[in-house]
Amino acid sequence: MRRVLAVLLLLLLTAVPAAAQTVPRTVLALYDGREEPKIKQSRIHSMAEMPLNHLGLTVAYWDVANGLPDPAAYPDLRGVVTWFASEPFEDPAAYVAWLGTVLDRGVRIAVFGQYGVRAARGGKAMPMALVNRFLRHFGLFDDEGYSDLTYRSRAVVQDPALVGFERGLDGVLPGYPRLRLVDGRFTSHLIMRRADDPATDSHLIVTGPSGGLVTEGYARFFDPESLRKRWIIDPFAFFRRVFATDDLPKPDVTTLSGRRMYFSHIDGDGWRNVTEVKPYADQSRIAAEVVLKEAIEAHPGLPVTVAPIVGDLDAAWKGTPQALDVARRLFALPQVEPASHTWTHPFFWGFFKDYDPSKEAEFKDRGATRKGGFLSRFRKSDSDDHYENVGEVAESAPGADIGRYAVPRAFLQAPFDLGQEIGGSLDYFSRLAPDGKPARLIQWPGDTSPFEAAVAETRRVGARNMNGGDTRYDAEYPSLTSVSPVGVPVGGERQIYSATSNENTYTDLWTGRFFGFQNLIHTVRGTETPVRLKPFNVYYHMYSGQKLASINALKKNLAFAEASELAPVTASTYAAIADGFYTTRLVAEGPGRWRVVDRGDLATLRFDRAVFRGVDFGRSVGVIGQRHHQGSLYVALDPAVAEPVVALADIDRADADPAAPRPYLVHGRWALAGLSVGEGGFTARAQGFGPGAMVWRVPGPGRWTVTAERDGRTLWRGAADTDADGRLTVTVAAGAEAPLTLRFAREGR
Amino acid sequence: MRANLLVVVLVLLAGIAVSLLLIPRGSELALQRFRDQEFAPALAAYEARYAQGDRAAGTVMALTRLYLVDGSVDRAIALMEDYVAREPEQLEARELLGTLYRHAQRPFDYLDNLEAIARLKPSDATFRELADAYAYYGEFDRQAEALKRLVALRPDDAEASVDLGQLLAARGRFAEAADTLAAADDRRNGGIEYDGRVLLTSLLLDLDRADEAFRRAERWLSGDPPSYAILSLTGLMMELGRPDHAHRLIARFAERARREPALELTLIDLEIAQGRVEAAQHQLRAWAEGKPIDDASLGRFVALCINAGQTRLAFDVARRRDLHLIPDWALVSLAETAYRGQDRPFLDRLIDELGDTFLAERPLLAGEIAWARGDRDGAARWAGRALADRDSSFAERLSATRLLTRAGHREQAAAAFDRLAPDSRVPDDMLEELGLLFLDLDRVREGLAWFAERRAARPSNGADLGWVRLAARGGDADAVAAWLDARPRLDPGLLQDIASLAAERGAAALALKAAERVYAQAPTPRSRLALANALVAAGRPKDALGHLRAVVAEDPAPDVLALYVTALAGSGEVAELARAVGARLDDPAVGEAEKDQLVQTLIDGRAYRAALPYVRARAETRGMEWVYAYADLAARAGAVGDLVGFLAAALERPGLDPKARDAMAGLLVDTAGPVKALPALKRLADAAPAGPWESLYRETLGKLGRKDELRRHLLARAGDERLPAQDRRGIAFTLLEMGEKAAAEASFRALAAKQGVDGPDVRQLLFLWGPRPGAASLDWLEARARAAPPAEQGAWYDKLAELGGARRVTAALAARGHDGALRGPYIEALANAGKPAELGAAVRAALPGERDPETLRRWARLAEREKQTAVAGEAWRAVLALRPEDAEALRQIGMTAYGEARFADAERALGRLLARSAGDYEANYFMGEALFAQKRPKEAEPYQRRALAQIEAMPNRSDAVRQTEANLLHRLGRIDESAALFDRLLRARPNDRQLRADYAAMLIENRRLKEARHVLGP
Repeated sequence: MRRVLAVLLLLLLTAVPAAAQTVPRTVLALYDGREEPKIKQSRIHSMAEMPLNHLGLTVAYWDVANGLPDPAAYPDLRGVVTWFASEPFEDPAAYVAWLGTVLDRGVRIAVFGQYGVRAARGGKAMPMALVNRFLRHFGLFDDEGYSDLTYRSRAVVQDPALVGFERGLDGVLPGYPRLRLVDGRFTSHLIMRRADDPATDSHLIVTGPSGGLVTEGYARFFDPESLRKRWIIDPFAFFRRVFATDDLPKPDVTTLSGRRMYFSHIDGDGWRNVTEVKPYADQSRIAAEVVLKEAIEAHPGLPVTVAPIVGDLDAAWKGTPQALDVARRLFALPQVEPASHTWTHPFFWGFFKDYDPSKEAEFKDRGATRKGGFLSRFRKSDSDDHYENVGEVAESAPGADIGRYAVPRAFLQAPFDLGQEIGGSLDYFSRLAPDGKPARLIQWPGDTSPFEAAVAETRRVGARNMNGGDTRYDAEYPSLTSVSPVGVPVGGERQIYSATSNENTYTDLWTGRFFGFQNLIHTVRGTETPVRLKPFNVYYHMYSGQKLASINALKKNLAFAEASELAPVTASTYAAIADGFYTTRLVAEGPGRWRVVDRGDLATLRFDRAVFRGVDFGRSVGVIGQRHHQGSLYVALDPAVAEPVVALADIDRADADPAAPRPYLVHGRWALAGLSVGEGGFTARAQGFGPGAMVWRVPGPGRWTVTAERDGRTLWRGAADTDADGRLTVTVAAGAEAPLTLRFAREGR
Repeated sequence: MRANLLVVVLVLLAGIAVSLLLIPRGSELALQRFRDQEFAPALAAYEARYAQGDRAAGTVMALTRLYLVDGSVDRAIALMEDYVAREPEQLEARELLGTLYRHAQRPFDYLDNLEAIARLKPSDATFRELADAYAYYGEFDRQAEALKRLVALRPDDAEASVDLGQLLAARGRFAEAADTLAAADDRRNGGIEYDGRVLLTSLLLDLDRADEAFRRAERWLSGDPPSYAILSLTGLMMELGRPDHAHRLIARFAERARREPALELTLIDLEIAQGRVEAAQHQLRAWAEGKPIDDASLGRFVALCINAGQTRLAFDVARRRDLHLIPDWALVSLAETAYRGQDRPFLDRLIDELGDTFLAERPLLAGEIAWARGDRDGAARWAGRALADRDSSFAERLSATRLLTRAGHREQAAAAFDRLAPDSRVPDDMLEELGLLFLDLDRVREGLAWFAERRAARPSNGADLGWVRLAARGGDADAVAAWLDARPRLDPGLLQDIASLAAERGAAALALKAAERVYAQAPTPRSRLALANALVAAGRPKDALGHLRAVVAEDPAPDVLALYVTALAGSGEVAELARAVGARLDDPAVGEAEKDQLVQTLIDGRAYRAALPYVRARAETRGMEWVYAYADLAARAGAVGDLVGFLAAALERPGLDPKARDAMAGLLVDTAGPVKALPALKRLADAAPAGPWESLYRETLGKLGRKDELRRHLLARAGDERLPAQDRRGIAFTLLEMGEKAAAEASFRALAAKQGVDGPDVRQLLFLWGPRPGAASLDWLEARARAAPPAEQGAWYDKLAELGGARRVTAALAARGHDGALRGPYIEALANAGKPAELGAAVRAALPGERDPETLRRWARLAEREKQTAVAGEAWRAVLALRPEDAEALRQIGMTAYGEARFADAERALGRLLARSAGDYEANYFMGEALFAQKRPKEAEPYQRRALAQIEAMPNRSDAVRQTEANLLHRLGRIDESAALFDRLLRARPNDRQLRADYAAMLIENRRLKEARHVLGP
């Protein structure tokens, strides 16, 4: 009878009410493809999208060179963002009218920089009435004044919650228009006054019911000398206000089982490079073997995804038995996931979009001399046939646009074949790996800018894809403008970025200061505190095994990871979670309750400003656990439940785990699924790397017996007592690379 | 970025190279291992040497290099820091340390080290790098220092000077900035770049060094400078309050300005700014008449015209051109100028030429224009559009709502205001207008609540200004008074508003306080009058008199005098009042309007006796307004007798306007009473028997109990044909009520004499007569019938026959009863009179001429009723001729034929009937009987069955029906049932011979002779 009731309750809880609404999460980014030909280099993508992603929003891009989009094509539309540098519209009046239509749908608008309505494309000035019609959407009126010389201007209102995020308003300030606030529903976050005359007040940053606007030059500082940027405004706070995200649950890609996620992946570049590291150098060992020994075997609890290049391994190309053997040995390790860095390592993907073998032929001869450039004179290994010239080179290729590269790909022995690069290479490494361990991740090589068909090919063969982004956040890049979003659209496909940069950007493109990668720690720290923005990602190339300084830097990073509280996963797992970020739909089912639909592998929902909110387990389904961290509430979803429902309730205390009528996970190293709670205890499936440290919150005090089982065989048994806070802390000392079952039984029942 | 990285690489490599060079060329083992890349033993060897105190460059550099090889960058830095501490002048070591800091991501250590390098070896590259780095990290004072040193090192680097100047200016160090830029400019003989020139000019003007600014600008603009340089510098000077210098600068280019519109426009602009408006006007007119105004210049040209007071020129120029080329603000100025000038034709033209699009985008302005044009509905319509525009700002909505109130659309304004829903986000500078709107809409209490919340949440001057008028009108007067006390200087307009609002609500103390403030701040006659007003309101008329006497002496305007009089009255100074007013009333120079006002003033001042002759004189000549005033005044002054005499005399006056007569008679009744007024009323009633006075007279008679007099009056009136029928009818009813039935009937007869038979008074007469009128009444009716026009005679005869005069009708129509119009009434009368033979004859005679089937049906029925079967049959056939399928006619013909044993005829008629409908049981029965009679029992059977079924379906059956039923049972062979039914019927009606015969026939037919004998037996 009780089971029947439970099923009924489950049915009731999982039935989507007719009035349920999908919470809109899409922000439409309007950009001018004539001004910013690549989305990756657009202002919105490179600076705004990461904060938007963090706030739970996905970004769809529309090139206004193709006209204006049909808002109806975006049923999930929450907002529009623009960051024009000039005037992109032939008919600005139509754009203003379009904005009106969008606003009528309840969509909010964020405007940075140029409005796009002061003049038509080509320079014809628009009537101020039109400009002001646009500005009225933001409660502003342009009096046609402009303060070019700003030395007598001072901020008389400067909202510290929004202005001065990475850089204060000081020094020589940009000129600004005279914008009067005419709508009291809007809040001014920055008011500049000239010569202490209140009549000159100009409202440069405003937010209100229809969105927000930041005047050109006041969103971020840009140093034209170093090309470095810093935020003036706090983009999180700004977008939070503009797009009203406080009540939006945030699909989270940083956290698993209540802990910061960790993953590591290696691009195979330099696989065959003979190492300089003693004592391996004495035995002419290759870099990949040094990495195997020093970085991977030494850290069995840290998974790593290894993506060789087939051309480096296969004897028909440049492969050697030694290189192939190292790959086999690596793949055999339980913590290693096989992946692919393609077959021939394209450098400049654009070259292959409309591939013409005859255009590539001219590079074949040049391939032999490609290392004879400027940098090679400083390299000891100049004559090393195994050395791969990766990253930037100082020479440019004549006759074809291949960007900064000398050759379009590393191996030119046979014509480019997309199927071979993607599916072919994955098959190759799947065969090389032990049974049941397929390669299912493509790690983009070269400029990490694949064309749409290439990304589509990964999807076609059932693989994930990753790389690019180059996130840095350290003293050298002291701005969140260098922290990338989760991914980037590639036509109708999507490329997932790695979470942090590899060692290339730390070593001047592998030309010096080979110890530089040890500075990864700063980025890792900076993207954790005060707000967790990225998982912990150790991403490097096999050539890190070539130098003593680089292998030591890597070892420092891994040691730091070992000392951190993490939930390690494979790179493909992260890529799948990141894909889930984009597909997730949240269906509101009443106040503080959401159904999570189409989430794929997404494992965590985050609620910000949630110190006094906790999961209402009575109204939730498919929730494994919850944890408060840095003011946010991270809710671990059960992968076994297709459409979990998360309901929140107010809690009284913020200094302890919220009480609940049933056990829940606070945090743990392993990924859990299929949590089942019975009268005497609970069970869950687990998979992970390293010892299974975990903390549960259970109702009532008591002693618990914990067993780990696989295929009916007990692998480990232990016991633990709850502490005064109701926490049950246990470390399961069993390997969980292959899934196992955990049973928690309260003793005395 | 790439360039920077390359620099880093080069510096690092250079550092390493230098360090290698520093290594002694000895043959030590450590060095050898170092060169052989045997790093571990080399490291051990060099660390050992260092531990032994060897701090030589060769050891330190080699060790640093070795630390870098294994990535121990922190150890390398510690080593180098120790070294440079001991060798602070070692530039190369400093540079290597800087590289290490950068690699370790220690930017501020790097910058400190770079400062040291700059001290050791100052270079522009180092200072520039320092300046850029400090700029990036927001260390602006240090950036300024770096730039200063750079400028000192490279004084010819004008870009650095400009950068420094900009930074110093931004840091508020204006003089220093100006000096920096000026020095750079001087060093280059006036050659700093554009940005520097503009900034320097601005700084010099800010520092009151305008002459220097002018001198430098003059130098920069020597020769043939580009136009943008001239325009930017003159524009800046103009903006910063030195149009004189700007004008002097540009005046040198007057000749060139004739060819370059931008220069000429600026020149004109400066002429205006210099007060040389006439010159500007001349230039504008000359331009408009002498050469084309290009599109780019049009907008500014129009604006300058407006600024120069040449609005019409601006409009003339604009009218011929594409208005879209003119900036909005200039267009708005054109419209507003016209609006302010109340130039209606101009506004009309403006609207026409601007077109709907322009106005649609500026509905508020359009509304103001409409208001200016006296178009209140238009103003309201535009205001509505402004409110409906989703893009309208709060301020615009506020203004639009106020426009609605001004246009008199208060309900719409109130609804708009509700939608405005002002909340806490209303900006401070809109609060005063918001408060005024609350006032306009009489939402004082609501406004006070709103402002109470706002002032508590966000106190501001704007909130106070929004609140204070509302509070003066309906809030806490003491709080307003305290607020006033706390603010010694306030706008007199606001104070005046407070005084007026407080006076309106009767908050006399507050009104007085505000008025005293106004008078103290601005002692004008108006404010003095307001003060006097407040004093009067505060119950201090004597205090007010002092002010009022002074004001009256200056301006004895009606409102002033009114207040003066009020004060006089309040002070009991009636004599002074009578004197003051009387003197002016007797002054022939004073116009009549003012005299009227003065008379009113006397009245208001209770100088009734003094006012009486003036008012009576006006009452005699100026109409009822003054008559009323006189009546009122006479009552107050105790001079009612005079008034009665006045009214009586007036009512006697021939040619008196009826309205005035009525009004005065009313006054007479009111003031003199009914008895005294009765003679006058009688005269009025006799003179106008249809007027209101007759009823008043009658009422008065009634009230006074003078019944005989009233009866006589009524009888006389009832026969007075001058009166409208309605009145006479009313009199007849009144007579009825008074029991004068004969007189009433006579009145109704008189009224009915010309009415048709359906006339209201005829109906009333018939009502009075009842269903059987007497002979006299029938005589009257017959007489009306005889005298009636042919078309109405029939109706009169019908009515006569209906009311018992049928024989009179037949007699009257015996000779004429066959005439078309009278045939019907005649036949009806014959039927009513019980003359069947005559009826049959009349019907037969009438049938050929009648084409109305219903009339024929009526006659057929009447003939049937009167047993005139043959005639009835003819009438039914006439019906059938017009309506071949008429069911009733077929049925009746068939039945008649059966009755006359014409079975075939009966079959034809009933057959036609029953072919189209089921018919009734009789039709079926007789059809069956007709067929049966023709020996066709089988054909008869279906009809008989149907007839029986129809009978059985009847809820109640009469004996006749039961008898038919019995017959039918017989016909259908249900003999026993038939016999039983007959038996029951016969027992109930033993004397019914037909029944007995039928019963017996049935029995005999069925050979039940014994029973038949019993039935037929005695």
